[in-house]
Amino acid sequence: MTAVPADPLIQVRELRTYFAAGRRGLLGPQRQVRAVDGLTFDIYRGETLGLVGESGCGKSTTGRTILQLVRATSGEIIYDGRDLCRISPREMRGMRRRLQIIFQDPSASLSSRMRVSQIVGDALQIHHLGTRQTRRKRVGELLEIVGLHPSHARRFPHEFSGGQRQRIGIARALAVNPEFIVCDEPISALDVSIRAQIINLLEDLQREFGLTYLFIAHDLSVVRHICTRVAVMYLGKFMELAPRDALYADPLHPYTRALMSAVPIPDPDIEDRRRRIILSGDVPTPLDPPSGCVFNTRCPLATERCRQEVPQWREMGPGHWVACHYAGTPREEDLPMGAA
Amino acid sequence: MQEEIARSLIYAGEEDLDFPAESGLWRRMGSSLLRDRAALFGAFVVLAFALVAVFAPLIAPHSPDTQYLDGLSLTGSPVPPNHKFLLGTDDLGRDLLSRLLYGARVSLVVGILANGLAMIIGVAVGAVAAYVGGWTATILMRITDIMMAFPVLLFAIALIAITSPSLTNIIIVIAILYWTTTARIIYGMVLSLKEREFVDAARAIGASGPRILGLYILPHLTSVIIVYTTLGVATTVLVEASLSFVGIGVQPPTPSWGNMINEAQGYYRSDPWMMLFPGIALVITVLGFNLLGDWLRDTLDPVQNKLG
Amino acid sequence: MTAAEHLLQVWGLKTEFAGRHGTVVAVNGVDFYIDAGETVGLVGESGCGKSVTALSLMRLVPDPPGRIAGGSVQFKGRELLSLSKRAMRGLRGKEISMIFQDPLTSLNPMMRIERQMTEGIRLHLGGSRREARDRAIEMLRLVGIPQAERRIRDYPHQFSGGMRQRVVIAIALSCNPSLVLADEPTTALDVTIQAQILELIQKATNEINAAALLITHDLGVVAGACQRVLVMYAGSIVEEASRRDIFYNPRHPYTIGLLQSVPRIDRPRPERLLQIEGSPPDLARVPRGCPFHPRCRFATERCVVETPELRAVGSGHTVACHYDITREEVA
Repeated sequence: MTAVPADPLIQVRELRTYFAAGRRGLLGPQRQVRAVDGLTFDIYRGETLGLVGESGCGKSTTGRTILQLVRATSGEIIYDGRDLCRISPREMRGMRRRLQIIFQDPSASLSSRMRVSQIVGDALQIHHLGTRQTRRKRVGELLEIVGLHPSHARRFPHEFSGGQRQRIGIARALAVNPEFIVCDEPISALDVSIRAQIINLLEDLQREFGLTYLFIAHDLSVVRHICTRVAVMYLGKFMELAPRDALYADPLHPYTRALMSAVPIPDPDIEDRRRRIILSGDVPTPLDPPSGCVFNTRCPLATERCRQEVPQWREMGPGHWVACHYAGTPREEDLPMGAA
Repeated sequence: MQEEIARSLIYAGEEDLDFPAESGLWRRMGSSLLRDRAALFGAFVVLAFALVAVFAPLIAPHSPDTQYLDGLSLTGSPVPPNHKFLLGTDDLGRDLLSRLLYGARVSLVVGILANGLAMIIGVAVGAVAAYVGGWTATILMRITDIMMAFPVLLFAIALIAITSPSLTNIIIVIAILYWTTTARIIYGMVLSLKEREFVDAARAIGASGPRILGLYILPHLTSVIIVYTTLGVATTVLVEASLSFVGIGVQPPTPSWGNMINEAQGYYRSDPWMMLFPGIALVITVLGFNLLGDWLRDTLDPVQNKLG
Repeated sequence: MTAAEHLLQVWGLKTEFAGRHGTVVAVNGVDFYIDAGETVGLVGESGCGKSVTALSLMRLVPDPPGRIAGGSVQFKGRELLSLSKRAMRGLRGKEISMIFQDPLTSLNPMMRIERQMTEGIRLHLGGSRREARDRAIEMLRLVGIPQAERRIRDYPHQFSGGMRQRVVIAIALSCNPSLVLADEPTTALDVTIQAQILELIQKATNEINAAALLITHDLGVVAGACQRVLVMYAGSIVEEASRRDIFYNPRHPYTIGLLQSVPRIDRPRPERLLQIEGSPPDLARVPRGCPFHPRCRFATERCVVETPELRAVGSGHTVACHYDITREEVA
């Protein structure tokens, strides 16, 4: 992984996405789900930035907000010199040639009433690329690129397995030659024995077409394999952001450490030996996040300061950012993490 | 052998490249239809009705307008069914059977056109309201509510009284009054469909609103549209008959089951066949369409779930 | 241990479903045993028949369209498949209980927790309402629900996902069963909660000395929690071994492939993941011969025509494969 960052492809500044969630009583204040609560980061050309966290942390919403599938409440998303949050819907549609997304659920993201040729080829029609003949040819090419056969274009999604449907979704995303793809949990809904196929496919495609990925996942093992930098999210905020090797070798935030210790490892000796950091309680609701550091209610290191004061987002190592008052202070537990 | 293994490795585990698109959907529906007697009756009636209406000039033994001398008894009253006039005659000596067959044409035309127009309006209003949301939706759906609150028949009478009872006007009036149920149903469906992930996916590739509605959402509505069109024909046939019965629908001498019943009012005691046969025709037709529509609704929905 | 001493002994269990295109064999002649107090893992992907296996043991397979077509299930010496429905009902919840994947749907949203728990307790153990309530509160404490006496009056929706699963576990254990069937108990939960729940299941089953069948698709879950592991594919068991043997000496190409295709957080990153080609078969169209052959890089003509039987390759280690494949050969 290159240590010198290239120019940022996308710059996110103070991004907030809140959803309205009814009022408390008839006259109470409007309640809001703070799905994304103040994110500032860059995505560099050619990298795979991982976004990890558990359910409800806002990682999916972040991806969708960047692509303007969800309206941001405030903040900026700068791409190609324009702020995506402020351009017209028409202009954004033009942008969609270069910014794409792969969805988590391959069954839900393909319309059961459309043939594969329409699903994959519609983008070409929308952006007026090619003629009918060349479009057909292109759809065939795309299907081959993702490991399917061109004759499959005539069929409907229900005739395919889950893994194949995900490939169709990938072909759709590639149709217009994007430069950036949000991968929203692309393998979570797939059978274990085919996940490796899709991961390898995504890597191959990245190499061949020079793609930049925002890889959203909850599985730390997968993220470590495919990502070059990783951000850890909790309740709409970043807890830690670091280059992959630095994060896995030396996680500084207590939440990151807890996440890593919770990942099941298929190795009996290691599982017997390891000491897990078990977090107490459940994830608080994003309707009413805790004050101070949002993680304080479950953090084994929490103090009064954590309840009162939101920790600063500070750089503790090259490109290694953490939001914790106590990051870097000596710890007792020693996690058996292997070499990077 | 090796090729077989190799082929399956290359094509990501695909075993059966010739698996047809909708594996025997028609065949399954066909066998399901054959098992359901009520639905079978409905299908038969609908088919018979369509054929009769289309081929009436070829089937009818006489012309519907000709007044026959031997169509009236010596006292000048209608003749009961005999070998020449299979269903008897009406008060002007015209063959009832032939009039009945030609009347089917009117019902068919009005049924299809009025219903078709109503469906188009209803789908458009419901779909646009659901997709666009906001003030547009509120306005459109409130209009729908208002229209639904009107007493339909009275309104129809008023409208036609203002204009004139031509076939075109009847079709338009019925359409104007009957699009509301469809609009409501389509509204609900599109409201839930637009939250589905494939709609997000369509937006993500740059599809515009109209494109998403037409290309992505509409195909999921076809089953519902088929069902409600079928059921709708039953209603429109009945409405047309009602209007004609009241005298503001199809005007004599053109036969319509409705106006035939109207003309038979004075004779129902002495010559009941004049009213009986058009009445039975109406009942059977409406029943048939309803039964077929019900069956379609039952079969198309679970299949839709399997495919969707 | 001889057959007579196993807590649960399954022979040739076969469960079928009447499908649109013919009969689907979900469980195809499965043999295994579980001893008292031990935790056995049943690993497989979605659609391999592992859930149906558990439902078959409990005779909860919906009939129609499902049907237990053959085999024997001996529990504490009694043949479950020939028990009357009434006797079977007496067994469920009391001797054998089940934990399902989704706590949202396995709890009745309209009933308070107290009622859902005490109903079962009173049914199987008798006693007064007060006694049942006390026992329920004790179980809730065991599974780590804070303020149990207060929370027992709550409805399921007032608990978070992880808490609900704890309640489900409490219900499953409340009558001191000898065997607990846990069907993907942590799949719907976040990874930090998953660790809690797994630990809880282990602790709780140890405490009442219950045996457990832990069904999952996640090999990592099995590594820490089970003593023995069964690997299932397309309706059949393809490998059975002790925990250590499964992970350190897997012998079936499917098991080996699974272990090698999963990225490991504790090992150096490979350049490229070793992938298994193809996808798991639809149970309505299981390949002839060895069900894994279309995806196996060692498949020969024999594998296409002849279904391999389970054969012993070590102490307590059986594999359904014609050949002796080991990890080194696959890498």
